[in-house]
Amino acid sequence: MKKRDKILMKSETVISEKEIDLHRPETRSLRQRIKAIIDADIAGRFVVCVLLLVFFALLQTTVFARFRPFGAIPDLMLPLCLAVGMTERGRWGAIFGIAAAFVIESLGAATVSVLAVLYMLAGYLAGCLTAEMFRDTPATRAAYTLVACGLHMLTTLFVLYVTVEGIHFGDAMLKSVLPEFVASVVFAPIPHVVAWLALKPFHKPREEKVQ
Amino acid sequence: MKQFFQSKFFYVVTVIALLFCIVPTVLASMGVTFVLRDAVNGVLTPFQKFFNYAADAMDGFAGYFYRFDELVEENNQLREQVAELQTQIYDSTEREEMFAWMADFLEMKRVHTDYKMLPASVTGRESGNYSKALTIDVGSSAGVEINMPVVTSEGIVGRITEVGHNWSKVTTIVEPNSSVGAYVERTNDLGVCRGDFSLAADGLIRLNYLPGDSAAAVGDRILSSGYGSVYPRGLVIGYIDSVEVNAYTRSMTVQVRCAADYSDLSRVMVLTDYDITVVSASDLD
Repeated sequence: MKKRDKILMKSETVISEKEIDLHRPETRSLRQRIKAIIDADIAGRFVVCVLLLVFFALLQTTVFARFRPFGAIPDLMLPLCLAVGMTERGRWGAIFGIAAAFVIESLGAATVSVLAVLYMLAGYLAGCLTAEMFRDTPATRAAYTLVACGLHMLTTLFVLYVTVEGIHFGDAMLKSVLPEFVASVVFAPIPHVVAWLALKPFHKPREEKVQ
Repeated sequence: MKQFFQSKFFYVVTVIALLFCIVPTVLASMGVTFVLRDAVNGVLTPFQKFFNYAADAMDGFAGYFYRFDELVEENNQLREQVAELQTQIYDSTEREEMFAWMADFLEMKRVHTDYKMLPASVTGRESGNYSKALTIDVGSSAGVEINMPVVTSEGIVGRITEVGHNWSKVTTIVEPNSSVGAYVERTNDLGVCRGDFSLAADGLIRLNYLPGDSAAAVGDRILSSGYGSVYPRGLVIGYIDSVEVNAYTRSMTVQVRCAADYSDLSRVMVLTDYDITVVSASDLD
């Protein structure tokens, strides 16, 4: 059995038959592939992902930057990458992660760009693990979020040490890293829920498909 | 799990992600704007403005709930600041008046170098309706003596008629008993200014003993002649307010409006010393 068939078997949701057609030899001409993409709702999911990306990027850099809960700006893009990866699987998660990192660093005028690798890995691994090993449940989402936010602490520390001269480890942790971690974890359910609701129409449960 | 990292797709996206990390960082360190970043900001900036507006609105609304105590405290602080600023404004206004007065004081000193002047404040006025006397806050302890002239930068006020330790009474020149040797600046006609009870309320005095053929006219300035040894020569008494000529007696009735405004006096100067010079008719020719 081919690898993609194993993935399809383990998946909780049925990928549309039209999407399966994408991988068949007779649909490999460009025109037919484009047609297959449009038919497979991929365009719709792409638009939704772009809207989610823009919405949460703006939310993070305006509203949350103004209020600064717990004294820091929560990272909403990382949970969003996890959510998209878990819903749309590894490839979408990886590409979405790179785009999300680029957009948030552009809007935030970052001088040191390190998030692309983190977000890409987060989205990709979340998608792959959901497809191969762990079911998509609130518990797994929470676990992935905690691990990803923990890794984000390391990148934040790295950026602080690179950009701020003479920074003290204690100051960095207490004034920036830990508040950011707490705020990100507390507000992580928002992008998870919104992404799940937005992308849910594109995924039909196995039972509905069988019927 | 190892297979996740062994796919071609993973290698490609890892390289792309590293490029997205390295290229913007290098360009930022060189001060060059990444084209894609510029495009993203260009597209999203209008939407950012809208989100900022929404954030302002939310901040204002939420402020009612979590900033109430802070706002009360801030309001109290602002009230205190306003009270303090009002006091400063009042003090500043007073200082401005003082500076203006001192400027006049110095100007008089510049013109009359022989004058020795003692500044004083008017602390009281007449208690009845028949007198125009003033009380000032300097007395014998400051060297004030009876008959010393009291002036302002505008003109003569009167003379010291009573002296206490730290106060003095000033009889103004509009008092019926006052007289000042005077002359018309333009025509050099000598006369005597005398207070008149009926004119005192209007700030007017009479200029008597002018020659019948004097050419004095309304508006002419009247100065002290120095005659009488009280007021020095050249101080402004006032300006001619009206002139009446009696053809039968060949005399002139001249009313002079005093230069000093008695109703608005708050600061005066006492001339404690000056060179006495009496002007005679021959001096004025």
